[in-house]
Amino acid sequence: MACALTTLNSTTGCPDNEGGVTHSYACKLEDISSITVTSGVISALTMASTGLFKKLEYDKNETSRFDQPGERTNEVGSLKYSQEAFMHFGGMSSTYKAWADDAGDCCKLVFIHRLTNGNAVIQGIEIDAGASGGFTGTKIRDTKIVPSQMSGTAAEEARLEVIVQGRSKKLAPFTDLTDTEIEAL
Amino acid sequence: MAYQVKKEFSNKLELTTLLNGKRIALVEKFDYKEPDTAKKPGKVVTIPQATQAELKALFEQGNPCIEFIDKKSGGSNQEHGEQDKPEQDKQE
Repeated sequence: MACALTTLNSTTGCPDNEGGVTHSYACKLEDISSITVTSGVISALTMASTGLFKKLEYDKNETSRFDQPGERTNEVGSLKYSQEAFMHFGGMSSTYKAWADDAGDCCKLVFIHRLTNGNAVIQGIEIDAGASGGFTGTKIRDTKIVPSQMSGTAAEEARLEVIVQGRSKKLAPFTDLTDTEIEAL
Repeated sequence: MAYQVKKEFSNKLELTTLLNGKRIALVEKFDYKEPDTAKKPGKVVTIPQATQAELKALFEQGNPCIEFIDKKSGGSNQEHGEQDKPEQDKQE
């Protein structure tokens, strides 16, 4: 993208600045065949089959998040973003173990995070009009999960914590797909 | 003249997308068994094959899986994009 500057203003219109993520949907990168982009936002997904996005509903305990801190190589070099999402599933069970083992074996994943302010952002893909299907996975490091299962002590909570990590050249794209549309795909 | 799925995607027999909230199959229709939920057992649903009108709508939206074939002019392919629309569509 060519260098360009436009005005940007958060001081009028009261933007919804509530932080956090309420829930997510996950699929394998290979499950997505193409994306349709309208005005920079992903407006449609074409999938290899149906029912491939799986809903992840984790605890609403103010810990879930999706962050993308930027950095430049040697401070002035190329720009990249270390994308990281965090999810907390209370409890400890064989169901959690099976999910973590299976998802942990996936090399390239895609997550649609529904932010608390209602917007949805897609971790694990980058818009690329020159690529097949109009997208690639995260270009610098593939997006994978790092699960941790912890019993904690009697004073703590047993839990499955899932960190989703990848590195991209661009910030994660937004989508205007609703939950109903994602679940119908 | 016809809209069709590009060859690079046509081996994905269950290629699916949504158009105006309707789930459609781009290559051929197929059956899908919805997963059971706590409230009700899953049922088998048939995903209908997209019509030419639906493929045209996807093409015009910019879906990268769809191409336009002008069979009259020897089958030259056109990628999606405003300037690539067929002549009759530009007049619409």
